[in-house]
Amino acid sequence: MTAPSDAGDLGAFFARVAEANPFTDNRVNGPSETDVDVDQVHQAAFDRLVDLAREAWQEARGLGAVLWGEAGVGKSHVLSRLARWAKQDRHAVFVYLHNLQASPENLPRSVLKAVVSILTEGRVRHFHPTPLYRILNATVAHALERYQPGPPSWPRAEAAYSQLLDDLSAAPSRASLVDRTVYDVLFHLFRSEYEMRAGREDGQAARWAVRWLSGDALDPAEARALGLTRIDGAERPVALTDSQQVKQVLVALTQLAWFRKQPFVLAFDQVDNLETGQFAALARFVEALIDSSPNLLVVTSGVQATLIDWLGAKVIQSSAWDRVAQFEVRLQRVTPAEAGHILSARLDRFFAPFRTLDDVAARRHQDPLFPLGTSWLEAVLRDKIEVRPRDALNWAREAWRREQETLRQDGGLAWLANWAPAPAAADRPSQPLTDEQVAPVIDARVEQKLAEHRTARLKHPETLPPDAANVAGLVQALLAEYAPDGSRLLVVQQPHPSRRGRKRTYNLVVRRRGNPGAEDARAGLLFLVTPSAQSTTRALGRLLEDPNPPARVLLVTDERQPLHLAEKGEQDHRELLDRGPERFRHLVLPFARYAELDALRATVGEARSGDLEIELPGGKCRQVTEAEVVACHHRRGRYGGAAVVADVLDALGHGKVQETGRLSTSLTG
Amino acid sequence: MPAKDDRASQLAVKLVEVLTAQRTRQPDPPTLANLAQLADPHANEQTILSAVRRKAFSGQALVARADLRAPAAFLADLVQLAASPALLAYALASARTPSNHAATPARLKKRLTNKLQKPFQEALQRRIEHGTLPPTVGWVLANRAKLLFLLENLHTGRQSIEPPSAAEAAPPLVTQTDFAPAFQAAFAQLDRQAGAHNFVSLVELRRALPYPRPVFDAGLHQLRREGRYSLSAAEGRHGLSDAEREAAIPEDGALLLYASRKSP
Repeated sequence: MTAPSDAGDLGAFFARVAEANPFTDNRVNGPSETDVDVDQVHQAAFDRLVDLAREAWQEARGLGAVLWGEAGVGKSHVLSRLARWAKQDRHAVFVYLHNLQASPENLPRSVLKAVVSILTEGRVRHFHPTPLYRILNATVAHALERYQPGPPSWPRAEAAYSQLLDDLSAAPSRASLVDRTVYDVLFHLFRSEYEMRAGREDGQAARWAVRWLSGDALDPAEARALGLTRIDGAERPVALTDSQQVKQVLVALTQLAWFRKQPFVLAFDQVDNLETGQFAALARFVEALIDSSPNLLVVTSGVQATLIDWLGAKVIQSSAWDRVAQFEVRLQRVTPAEAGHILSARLDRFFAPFRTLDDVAARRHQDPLFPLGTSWLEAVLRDKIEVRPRDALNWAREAWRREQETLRQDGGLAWLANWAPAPAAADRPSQPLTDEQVAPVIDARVEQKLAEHRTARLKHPETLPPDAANVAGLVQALLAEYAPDGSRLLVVQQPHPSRRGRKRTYNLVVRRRGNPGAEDARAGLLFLVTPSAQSTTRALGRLLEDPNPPARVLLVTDERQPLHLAEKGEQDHRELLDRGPERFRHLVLPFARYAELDALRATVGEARSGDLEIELPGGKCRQVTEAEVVACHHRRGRYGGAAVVADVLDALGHGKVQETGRLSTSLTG
Repeated sequence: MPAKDDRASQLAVKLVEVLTAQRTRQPDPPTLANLAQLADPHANEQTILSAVRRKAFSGQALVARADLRAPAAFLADLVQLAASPALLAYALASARTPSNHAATPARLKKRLTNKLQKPFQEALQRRIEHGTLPPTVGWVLANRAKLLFLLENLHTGRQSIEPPSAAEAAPPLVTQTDFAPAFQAAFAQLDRQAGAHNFVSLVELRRALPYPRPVFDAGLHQLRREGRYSLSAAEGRHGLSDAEREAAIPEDGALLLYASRKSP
């Protein structure tokens, strides 16, 4: 039963119609629990992915699927639906990754770090409410039930867990894929967390375990507590040794999910905006992961034309492609009827708070597509065979805007009383815009997208964990955008030094070419994100020992992972600071600024994927190119205002850095 | 770990191997960046530029200039490279500055390596005289000198002209009754050749099915209406060639270039 409308209620309704447009968002930036979704749109593709996830679990194997189609057709929507399915009734463990920035050689480790961060919900302690703890709990429970039934105890749990691993390794083909070290650390994590909850220990071992599983180094004492030692026996930090061991951690996680009867789904969205070297490295790693994992579906999503171009150009090897894209799931344009369902769903969501208003309900009863109107939709779709969902949303957005204009002109009550289904308005003439006219439109759109990306990261910081490789990749990419070919700024990534086992002194060396005869200006950047005091000391020691240091050295740390200094490290850090801010600066990157860096690259990536559009006068949309986004960032001084980037440019005396540029906190002596 | 010299030498050999493979596959000369990406995606610019100076490469091939964006070819193909639209486009782009978008042939040739300068200028003169410049390039007489420029840099007061839609196109000239089976057969064959990704360019399909354009477009429109095929927009990161623009079907502001069998 509906309540009679009163002017006050209707006032809120009119204000909402005038201020909000339910069709403004025409793409999703990642999985969301609040997407407006229509089950029947792309249902076959979604069902296929669900079937593959279930098959991965049932057959205990790794599978690869490529989800592809043109921009705006709904790929990210399908992944978002898959994420909701995974969460609902705990159908699956789902990890969504996009906008990866690490260099090709660091990509596997960066992927692992993001996966563990998401599975631990970005926590650094109290892991028991997280998916990682839940799959561990299920595994130990399974082992106890199977091998040591009876009252549980730690000795029994340990024995059962060990027997479980024996069984997993029994098949000759699986033996090499069961890395006991990884499983032992996982058990330490479980036990430490369990005991902490019972008030019997402080949970420190669990924290160390998560760090090691994330790829971070542990100091020798911490490692010993987890039973970890270095092969060479040296009293030095202990970390996952290589991409093979990184893979083994992920393989173990998929195995644990299997015991909880959950397929492990790893989704890489918008891979077409990666650099080709990154994509090649990612594909190689994913191929190895699929081959080794007992319960994994990897969904790789991107624009089909780009991926096929890369395949033709052998950016990715056929063998890797055959595994990564073993199953092709193609999204095509939707039918006009499906486009209608998409618009209806948005309207339903919009009107939900106002469903008790009689006058509004009457209008909706008269025409379910009020205020767009069924006749408007019929006219718009009359000659269409197939439609890109994003286009349908754009047309609806423009129609809604016309209703807003009428509402403002006539007043709410008159608008509602006089509303009648109207045929589609003729397209308003689309005036071509000059470069000067289009720039502010692009600026506003990019600003909006930056805010969306930033907000999404701030809401889910676990999706952007402290990760030196990722920040280094971001800064390198942003500097390359700031100083394209022909510029006097040259970015050089430090190659691996030749001495075996010796770590690089800097992640990046940035060189500004001098005038003929003059020396180049150089800045060395070290991104140090480790809780290991010993690793920190060694890294600082390398800076001090560099026989030919750049004129300026920037040490960058993440505010979420403060520099952990022991006595020697403290001394070295002090010595570096004593060189003065002209030669050495320690920058602490606040998370909000990190999210801004990420958003800058994400908007460029969106344009690359054809996912960034502006609306022209008359309601027509056009894509914004990658170059236009970069030009927009330049115009708005965003490179000169970006954390770390601004500091590098400042250190090299390159251009005028805006005052807002000092966004990283600088620690000085 | 190989020394820098070794890396450059090894890369030089690989570049020649890739160039050999590309020679028959690609009608246009590849850029040095393309070659390097295929030969060694991890090689840095310094190593690549060092590699092309090595005898293993320079004894058999050349790059138009020490620049990753420059096209490359075998020495035996020097004349073809000199006359290629890709080289002209590169020279124009290379000579372009923010304040100058046009250049004389003499200035353009200076953007190229010595070996290419003479054959390039001769080929360019022939193209100008015979009116066979690529469709993306124009020239204008200024102070008796011929200034060449990329048409994309030409500013006019005209609005862009969109090609007519299928509905506005001229009526079919021949019957469409045989179009559907011919299209299906051509699609199946081309799709198979391209790796069976259910994704075939209209460039290839139009080439395989030499129907007049109105017949082709109307026939494909019918197949889409019957729910048998779907089209999608050209949105790769690599831009569109003239041939792709020509073959695509404009619809709702996008250029539809790829056909796929409709999913159930």
